[in-house]
Amino acid sequence: MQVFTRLLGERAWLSPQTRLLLRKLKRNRSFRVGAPLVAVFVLLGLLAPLIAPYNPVKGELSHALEPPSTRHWFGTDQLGRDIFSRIVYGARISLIVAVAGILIAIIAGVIYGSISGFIGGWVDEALMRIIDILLAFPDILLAILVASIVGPGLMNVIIAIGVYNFPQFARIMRGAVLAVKESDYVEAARAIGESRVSILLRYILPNSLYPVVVHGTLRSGASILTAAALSFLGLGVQPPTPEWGAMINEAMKYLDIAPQMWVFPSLFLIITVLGFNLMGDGLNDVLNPRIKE
Amino acid sequence: MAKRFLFLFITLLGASFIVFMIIHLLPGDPARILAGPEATQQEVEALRHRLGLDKPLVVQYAEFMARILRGDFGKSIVTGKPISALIEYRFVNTLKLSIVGILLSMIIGIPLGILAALHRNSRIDQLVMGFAVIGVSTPIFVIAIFLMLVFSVKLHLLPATSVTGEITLRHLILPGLALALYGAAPIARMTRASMVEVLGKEYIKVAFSFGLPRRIVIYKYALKNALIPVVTVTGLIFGYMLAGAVITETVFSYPGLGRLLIDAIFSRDYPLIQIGILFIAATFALVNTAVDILYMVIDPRLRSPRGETA
Amino acid sequence: MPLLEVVNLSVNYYTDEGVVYAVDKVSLSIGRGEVVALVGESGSGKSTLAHAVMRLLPEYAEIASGRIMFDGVDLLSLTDEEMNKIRGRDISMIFQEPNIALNPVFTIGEFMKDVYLAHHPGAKPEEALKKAAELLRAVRIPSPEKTLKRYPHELSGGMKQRVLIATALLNEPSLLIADEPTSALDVSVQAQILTLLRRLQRERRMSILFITHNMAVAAQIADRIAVMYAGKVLEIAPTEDIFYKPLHPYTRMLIKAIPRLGDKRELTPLPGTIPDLRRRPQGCIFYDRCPSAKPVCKRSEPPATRLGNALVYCWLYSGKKSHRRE
Repeated sequence: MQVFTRLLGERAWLSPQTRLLLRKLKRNRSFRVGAPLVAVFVLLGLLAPLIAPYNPVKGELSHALEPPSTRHWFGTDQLGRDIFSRIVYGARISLIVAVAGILIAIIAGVIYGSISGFIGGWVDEALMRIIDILLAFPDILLAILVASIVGPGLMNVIIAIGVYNFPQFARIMRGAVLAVKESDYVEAARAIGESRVSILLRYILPNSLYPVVVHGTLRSGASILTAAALSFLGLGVQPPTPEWGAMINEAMKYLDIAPQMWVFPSLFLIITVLGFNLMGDGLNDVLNPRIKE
Repeated sequence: MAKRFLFLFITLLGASFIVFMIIHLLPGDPARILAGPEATQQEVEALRHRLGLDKPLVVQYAEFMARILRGDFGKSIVTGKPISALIEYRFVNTLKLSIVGILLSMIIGIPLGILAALHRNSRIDQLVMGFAVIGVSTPIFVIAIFLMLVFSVKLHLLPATSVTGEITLRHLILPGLALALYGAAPIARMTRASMVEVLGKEYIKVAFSFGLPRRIVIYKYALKNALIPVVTVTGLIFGYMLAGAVITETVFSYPGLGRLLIDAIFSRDYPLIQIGILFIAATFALVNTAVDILYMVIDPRLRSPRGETA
Repeated sequence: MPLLEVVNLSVNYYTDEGVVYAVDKVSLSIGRGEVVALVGESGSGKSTLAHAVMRLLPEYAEIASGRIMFDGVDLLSLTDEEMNKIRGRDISMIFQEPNIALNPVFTIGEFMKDVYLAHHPGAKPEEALKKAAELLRAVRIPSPEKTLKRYPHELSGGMKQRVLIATALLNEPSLLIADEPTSALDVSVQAQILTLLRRLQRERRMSILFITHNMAVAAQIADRIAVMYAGKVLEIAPTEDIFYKPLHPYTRMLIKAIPRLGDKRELTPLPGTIPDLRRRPQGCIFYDRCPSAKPVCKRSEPPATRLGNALVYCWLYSGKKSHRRE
């Protein structure tokens, strides 16, 4: 952590404001706890093939349902698969899902929101009504809806996550566009003939950066939960792919005889999402400062 | 106020449209999907004609809406039985569960939030908020499983009696508690944040300056203001309850709409899926509208057109 | 005996950037039925002083030393409950921003009733509402009964301030502390509120501690004026003396800076800025900006000197010739 933050902090090209923000982040308690958790999660996911001692998908039936031991740190499941390896690969799956899903939501939301904000008028009204209708569905329901249409599978989970997060990012982006659209420097830029795209990139995107970053972090945690929920219901990632929610689903039949099957995925889910939530809270505190308590 | 109802109407319309479109968005021929893979081509065509699937989309939608409003929810592909009878019973169960869930979460969450706000930055605050943030990060099914293990091992309350199919208070406790713990966390956080913000307002200092007793200032003057955002969030949390119910019902084998919906998705019972989602979405939209109206009643600033929140 | 006597009061704020000495060994007294204005720039500590008297300071502030004698009792020695009885009954306060001072979800009547009942336990609500209406009439609010049923957002800023004044007078306090009550209002409304306060003060023989940054406003209402700067009182004198015989160099600057009708000169802003309140210099706090500064001013704090009816803290007047009394 020290090395990482030192690297960031001493870059000459970082503006003094950015450096001040980074210093504040370092002091923020939520961020200090959350960010390392997220970092561990990301590392687990990225380095899964290197860390996992066993094959996560193929197990030895003779060693089924074993409790944690020195051979199998987290024990084995009903097919003799090493749970630790499955957890590690599960991190990778969750990482992919969250990152891909949120990125889709952000990109779609940015485009949608920018267009809506820029054009304004009744087009803006209409587009925002659509967003409001989408937001009228509870989160998971929207994901279930999408899942019911496109079917199960990893790719579809990503799509579902993208779809159900997209309305909020669209709103944020539109808000940013509206906030800046009428300001003087944008008018000046337009007066000298600067292209709309350029205005978008130079003035509007930076204005929306903070809320998008904060929201993106918080939604990453929520998305991991939703993906796990979908997989738990059987609508998401299908076995034998190791996803934490799916693992808990498989554990349902063995709750009392093999608690290791549900305890470890649950712990990892909680800790990972906790990490994202704390990190998001910290970012929120620093980037959207409120009056001091 | 009228605007709110208009919006509700549009939302319901939009939701029903989306739900209607499910069948048509699926890859493949809607009639074939409804008929099932074993049906012969003749049967598929017959079904197509019978269900009016050969008519233009707009007409189909109109007929769909007409049917729905009449109360005719169609027949399940899987069982062939009419959906209405099945849905009613299940829907009421889910409603019971969600209501228990949200009431309990408010009973648990709001006092905790107030407590944390009053002892800001103390051990109590950190403890309560610590639990709250963990609660927000925990999947509902983990809470449900945990509760089930703890209370089933003690053989206290049976998870579900799918035996009789009858739902009494005992059957609501465990799933209700799971939902309550799940919802209490965001409510506690919201309450604390709101309370802290209100306590910093000038009118609270003014209230103290006139010698009003502390009890009145906090529990009358501050609380009423602080609860306003909490009330609005309640609508959102109710959505969590509905969604959480879907999962909780699965864990506890509770005979509710959520579990019905999931089963329907697995068996590709599309008419049932449509109606199920429509019910949930409509309920959510109605509750949110009710909450918005409640919000207008509570906050006098919203009643007159001149009132503008600072 | 003066009604209020502040003796050597010091108030500190504890912030992330260190301790701020907001009020430094300030002494001030207000007689019965007397109006004293506390005048100073923003950051001079005048508002802090007022909040200290009411013991309404925020959590990160502390009364470091001194006594606040009200009617012979040291307010700082009272328990919270005892102090609460005094607030709103013996001493009332009105603040600068009427628009955010009233609880938006309660009617005016509900609020005033609560304030009355808090200090008249056992009284009936009807009695409270009757007194409230009476006072609304006294502050010249039209249709008092209707107004009691209104919510704050339905009233204008000036009306809200009148309501707050009425509430402050509900329990017949002997001292009213007014913290810049007109600064947030339109000029025309300002004049109305000032006239109102003057009339009410006369009728009830009430003492007022009137805080403002505006000398001209102070002149319209005060019997005596206390000039505050960076946490210290520099001069206290009857209003006439302040204007026609200002003693302290800072007071002179303030008087000169008041624009007068027909004045063709440029506005003369005060040179320099207030010092960093985190440091307490050894000498006079005004040293850096004082045009008449002498070496002794940098070395030690000037003592209080009485000249006629005025009290001034300045080395210019503390030579062997003038009276020396603390």
